[in-house]
Amino acid sequence: MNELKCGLIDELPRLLRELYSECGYSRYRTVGFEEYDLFSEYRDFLTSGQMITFTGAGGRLLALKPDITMSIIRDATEQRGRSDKFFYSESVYRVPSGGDEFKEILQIGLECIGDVCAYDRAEVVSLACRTLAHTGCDYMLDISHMGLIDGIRKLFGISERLKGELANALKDKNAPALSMLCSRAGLGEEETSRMIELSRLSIPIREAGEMLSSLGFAKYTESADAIGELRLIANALTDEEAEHVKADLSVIHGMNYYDGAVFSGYIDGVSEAILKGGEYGRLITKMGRTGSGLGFALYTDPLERIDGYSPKYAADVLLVTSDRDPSLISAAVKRIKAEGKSVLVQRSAAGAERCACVMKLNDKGETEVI
Amino acid sequence: MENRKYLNVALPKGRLGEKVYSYFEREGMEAEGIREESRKLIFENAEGTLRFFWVKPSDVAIYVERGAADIGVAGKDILLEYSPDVYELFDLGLGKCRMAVAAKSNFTDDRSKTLRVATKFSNIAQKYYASLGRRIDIIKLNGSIEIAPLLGLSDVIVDIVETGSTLKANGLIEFNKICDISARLIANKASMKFKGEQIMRVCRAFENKD
Repeated sequence: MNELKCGLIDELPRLLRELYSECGYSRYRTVGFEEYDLFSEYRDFLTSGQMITFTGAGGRLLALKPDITMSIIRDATEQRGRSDKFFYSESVYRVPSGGDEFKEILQIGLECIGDVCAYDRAEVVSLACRTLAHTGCDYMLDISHMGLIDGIRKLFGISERLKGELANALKDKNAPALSMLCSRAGLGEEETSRMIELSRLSIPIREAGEMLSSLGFAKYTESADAIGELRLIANALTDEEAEHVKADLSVIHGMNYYDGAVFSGYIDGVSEAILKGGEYGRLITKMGRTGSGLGFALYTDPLERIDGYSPKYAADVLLVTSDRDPSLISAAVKRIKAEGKSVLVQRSAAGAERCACVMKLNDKGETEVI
Repeated sequence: MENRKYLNVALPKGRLGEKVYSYFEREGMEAEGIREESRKLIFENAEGTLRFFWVKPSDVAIYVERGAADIGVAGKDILLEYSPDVYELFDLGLGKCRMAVAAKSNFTDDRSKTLRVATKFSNIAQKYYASLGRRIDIIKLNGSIEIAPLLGLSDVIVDIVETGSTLKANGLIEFNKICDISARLIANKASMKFKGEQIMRVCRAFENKD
């Protein structure tokens, strides 16, 4: 068992609260349900459009919260020059991607909404790195920018009509689909190979600006701006954070909502992205607000599956007391605790496998390992 | 089982998996005992860097998506049907066939009626007919799809066609091709972050196999 990580799953919310508070993020609390209308209009922002709905006492249609971001956007204050920064640790209720039933999903995350500046963007990416680092596992953060999709499209002369298909193929690093797309766009073998190589790139973030520019991305406004933003983010990260961040063009989030940097975080030992985030200026506009917004969510449920992450035993010692005098038991418990061990008291040894060690209390108040 | 140091490879049981394994062998990435007759399903190579699993072809994508395997070989039919969240790195060009609509030779599509479609691939069939704006009733079967139109259970079938001989033997005709199918090298997305070099080495070995 990894002693360092053991029990961290319970500690993580507190550690992250402290991390976010240090950067001026304040706690955002929600009620478990909201008016259905808040989510229904933007349902394709959600992983799945399905929601658990019910009729409230006043006859209004309500939904168990499938997402936190939209509630925060609605509640953020609009004021020139101001950005609202919130963090949360809440459950949402939705059908996970590829799933067929609703699940309660615990998310810890943050949102920065309003007059977002370059520093805010870099800070959010840095906080994403530090969030992943707090899991105690080796981590990688893949980052891209939605503006780069247009860059690739223009670089290869692919029509706007095929943008969705291009994004889907890039997202899965799908070489056969990219080949087919290139053939439909009338591209030759060399350009097809170049496109496939591009989809497979994983560039250390500090080298990404130069490499993407050398590949021709800087020629187009959208991708030149994107490269500029990624450069600013890269330069603001610490050396340690930057070591874990790679530019990867397969990071693509919903094109109707995201328009800036987008990222996905992975930790060694979990098979899917455990953190997802990015800048969703288009969602802000669609919700009738000004400015922009960005944030991320860490999904904590997969952490349970990491070996040694959750305590293996309910207690270090099972103390079998056979109905001895409570004062004798108390004294023995005190002695065990003084050794820094947790203790579960029980009359018999039933269910002893829950504890690392079993001890018996004799009638003199002495303990012995059995 | 410690998965971290190995590159875990899910291979589909059967001829396709054996053919794919022969590419690994050719690249010097073989595992001891894998060619011997036995009921064993997991094999490791001597250097302790590769581990092969034989799994049911339709389960390969699940093993890879869930990270039990880092890479695997799955048919495009399975990827289209279940849309697993994996990277699709390479078309191996093996196991080539097509997904098609077939029916009895005297079938004519009556657009005034709901079309009854028997298939193992209900998502593929749904998407295909939705793209045509055709109202359908999916009849999900797990095998012997070809007999559904013969017994009046369905009007058409949506199934994999390789040579067409099974259709012919059952008096069916291929009416429309939905898409081409072949075996794909797929990778778990998180594994690409931590074992990317190992995975791309395998991918490039396959790309240069001819």
